[in-house]
Amino acid sequence: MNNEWTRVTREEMTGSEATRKSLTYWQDVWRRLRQNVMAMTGLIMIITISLLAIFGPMFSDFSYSDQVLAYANIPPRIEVTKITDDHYVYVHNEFRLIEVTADGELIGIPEEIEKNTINRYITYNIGGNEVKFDYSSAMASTGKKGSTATEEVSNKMIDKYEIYVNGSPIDKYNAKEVSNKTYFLGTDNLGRDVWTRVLYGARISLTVGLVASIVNVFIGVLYGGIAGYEGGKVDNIMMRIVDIINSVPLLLIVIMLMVVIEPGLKTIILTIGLVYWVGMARLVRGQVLSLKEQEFVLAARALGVSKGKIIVRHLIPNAIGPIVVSMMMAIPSAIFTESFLSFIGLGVSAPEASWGTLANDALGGIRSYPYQLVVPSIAIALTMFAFNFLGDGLRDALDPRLRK
Amino acid sequence: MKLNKKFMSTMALVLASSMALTACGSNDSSTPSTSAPSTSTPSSDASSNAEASTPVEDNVRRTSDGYKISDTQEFIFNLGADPLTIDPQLNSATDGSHVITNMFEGLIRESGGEVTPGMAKSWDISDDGLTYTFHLRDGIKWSDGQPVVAGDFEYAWKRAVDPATASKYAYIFGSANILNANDIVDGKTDFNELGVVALDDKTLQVTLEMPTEYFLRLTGFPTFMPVREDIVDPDGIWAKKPETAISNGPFMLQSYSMSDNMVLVKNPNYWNADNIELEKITMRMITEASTAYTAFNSNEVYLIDEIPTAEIGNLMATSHEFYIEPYIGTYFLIFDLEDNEVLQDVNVRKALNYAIDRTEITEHVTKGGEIPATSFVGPGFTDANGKDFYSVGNMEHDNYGIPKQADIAAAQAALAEAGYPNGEGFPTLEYMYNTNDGHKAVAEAIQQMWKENLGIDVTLTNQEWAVFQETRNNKTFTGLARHGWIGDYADPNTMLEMFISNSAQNNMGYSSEEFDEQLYLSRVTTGTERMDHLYKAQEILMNDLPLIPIYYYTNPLLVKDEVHQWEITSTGKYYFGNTVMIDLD
Repeated sequence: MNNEWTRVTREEMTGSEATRKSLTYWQDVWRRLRQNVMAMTGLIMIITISLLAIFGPMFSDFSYSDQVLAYANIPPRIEVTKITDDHYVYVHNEFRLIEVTADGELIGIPEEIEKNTINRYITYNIGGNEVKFDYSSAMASTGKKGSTATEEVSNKMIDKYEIYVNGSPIDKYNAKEVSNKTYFLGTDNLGRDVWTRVLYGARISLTVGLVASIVNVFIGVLYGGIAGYEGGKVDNIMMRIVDIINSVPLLLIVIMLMVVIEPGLKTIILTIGLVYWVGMARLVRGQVLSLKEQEFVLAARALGVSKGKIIVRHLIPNAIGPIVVSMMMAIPSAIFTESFLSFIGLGVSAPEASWGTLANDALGGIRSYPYQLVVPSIAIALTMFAFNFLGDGLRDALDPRLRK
Repeated sequence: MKLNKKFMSTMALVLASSMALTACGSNDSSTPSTSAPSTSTPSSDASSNAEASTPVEDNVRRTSDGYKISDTQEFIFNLGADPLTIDPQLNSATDGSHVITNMFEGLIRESGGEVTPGMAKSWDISDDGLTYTFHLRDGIKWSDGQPVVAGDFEYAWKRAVDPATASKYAYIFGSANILNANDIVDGKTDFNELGVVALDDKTLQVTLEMPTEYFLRLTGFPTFMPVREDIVDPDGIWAKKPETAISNGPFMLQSYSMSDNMVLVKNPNYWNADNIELEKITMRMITEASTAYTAFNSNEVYLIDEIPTAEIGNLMATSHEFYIEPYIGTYFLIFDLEDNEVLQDVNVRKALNYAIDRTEITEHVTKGGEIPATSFVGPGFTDANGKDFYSVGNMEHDNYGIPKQADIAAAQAALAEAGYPNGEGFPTLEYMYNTNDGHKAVAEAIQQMWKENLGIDVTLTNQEWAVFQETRNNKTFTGLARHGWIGDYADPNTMLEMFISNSAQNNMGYSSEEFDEQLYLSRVTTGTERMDHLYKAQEILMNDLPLIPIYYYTNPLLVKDEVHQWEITSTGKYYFGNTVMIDLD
């Protein structure tokens, strides 16, 4: 008889034992989140944006409300034309000159000697030189009646003017594009620093976004969880309350709130707090309704786990996917709601600005000064990306079913 | 006229003075190179046509200055918001007036700045200047073919002052000094007592309380246009329904779709229909300036007057389709003088006035040089000697002490005198404006100027236009509110009378017996004497400063070259009766 069995040695027995040390749920979440590159990128971006929002304005030379009207609408990249050896100018899109240094720092508006709007020229005194800025060709180059063909040919600013220094023309094409050293991201329609305003706007927009997500989690998830798990009469009553809140338009709530408290960030936060959890509550209820019939809930109940603990420890973590996705979607939506409310005069009052109002204000000048719209839009887009990446990672990390 | 959202405006001073009000809108005279056909392409086309094929030339119709008249006579422009109403007596907004001016015709029609016969072919004025007898044209018809009779005018005018109609413009009959109009508006007399009577179908007699120089021109104003008793309804709904919108002007309503567009077509029954070239006018209702500008650039609309402020500076230098038309109106701020005790101190009002750099605002915020306002009555109003009321008044009184650039020292001194040295202890003021990018920019600029120059904090609040009007009319604002007033006729009275203590337009709670007296005296006097009272009234007003004048309006427009001979009346209304669409290539 063959003995197919061999005796296991002690070494062999201990060697196959799991060596992983015991981790709590949150430690495990953090471990898995750390491994997710995208999520960490998102997290770092959010932290960076938050830090910039908090400390950035302190390091800026300008406040969000400082205006220099003559410096309105100067882009981040400016074309510097050499006038004399040590004098340079920037030709503003509105056909006037601004004195700058060779590397793009704004010095000031040169002294105007004569402004002739009929013959279309302005003469300036720049460092003792008489500089004549002649834009009479600007009109001709866009084409007179019937000769619209030229319009296509030269639409560039630089083809539309001539500069004469002490009577002789200078080579206007000898201009180099440098970045604006005074206003890093340019100025808005009132000559305010766009960079400072975007940083300042981040405070308002992020606050609104965060409040929206926190309210979503705390009120929406718990409310939906309770309604779904309890079911029956409780569920019925709770969900009818949700229906009622949902059926009142947001705008109406804000307007009614305005009667009691004045417009401002407080009103917006309160409004969002009042209505933003509604969608989340419905979503969580739906999830819980299906989850609560599963065996692990039955097991938990059989072991005598309390209702609250079942909801918080068993049901919500299992519904975390949709919750996180919906939460992340609520943030940009709250940012846009804020901008809409500000636009109709129910939000932050000027000159305070949020990203939404910055984008809104820039819309009118989108053709000539697109950077004013691009900057806050990029800020909004980056924030949304960051929250989405982090949201994705969190969903994977929090979901107990994906736990290895 | 209350200025709707229209605000963004530009005008070079030079343009304002060179384009006299009378030269309204003839687009060719303002661009020199186009007024000489020999230099432009159409005429070279013409000569080649003439040599190559003479028969073709015969088929081509040309305008008097040589442009080829287009085969499709459809004109499209942007009206902006959907007008609340286009019932002549109920309308009180600029947009509605544009439509009414083209759909209806009053006793006279203003054309090229001159009073020309409209429905009336002639009129007699009694020696005392109190009785006007209008003789209507023969063969004038409504768009449904019924004759226009003098009774239609009598009905329309009485309807306007009838308290039951609740016309916002009822007061203008009082401004015109028509017999009993003021008493009717005040509710003291029955509206049937109005001094207008149709002697027969062709003769209309109007009796005035006092000789009124601007009365004749006023009969071309929308509120004075005739309506038909058998079709009107109290809410003005008839005027927006093509079946019932029966009009007597060059165009009639073909279709209306809410907040989208309104289509007018040529009225075949109009007495001068043979000389109306346009077959169709489509009025788009694009409320967003940026969208309208895009539509203009893609040839969807041929005329827009709401241009994004950011584009104006560049357009002024580069676009030959950009026009700046004069506009008799003022952009200003009003104080709440009834409840705000701080603002009741004239020194505070002076300080706020002096600390504003109006030149900076017109040059860098509104752009393109509207005229900084130093008085309430702006350019465009003539006095009895034919001189400009604005120039004479400002010259004599040294701009009424209002600096065009900020006078910081004077402002701080005035504030100190009021008991707030360096702005210490000054309460935060609320500045209210209606939601609009342009108003916002002006508000923010002024806010910063006050903060920098006086150390005063201002909070800005904006409200939607309809809500804002309500707030302003009910005087429920607590600090300052923006205001804009466009004259209804080219007489200083149209501006100044809103400051009379019991005027419905007096939203600031300003009440001065001296001012009221001067305006009363101006109503019972004529000529130079009357103007002296108006000058005096403005002086009193500028001493009391119940307002902060900012700038005088202009009307910036973009009009395609293909639109020929468009017109704007002296009160800023479009008239397209003489407009022709031309082919340029």
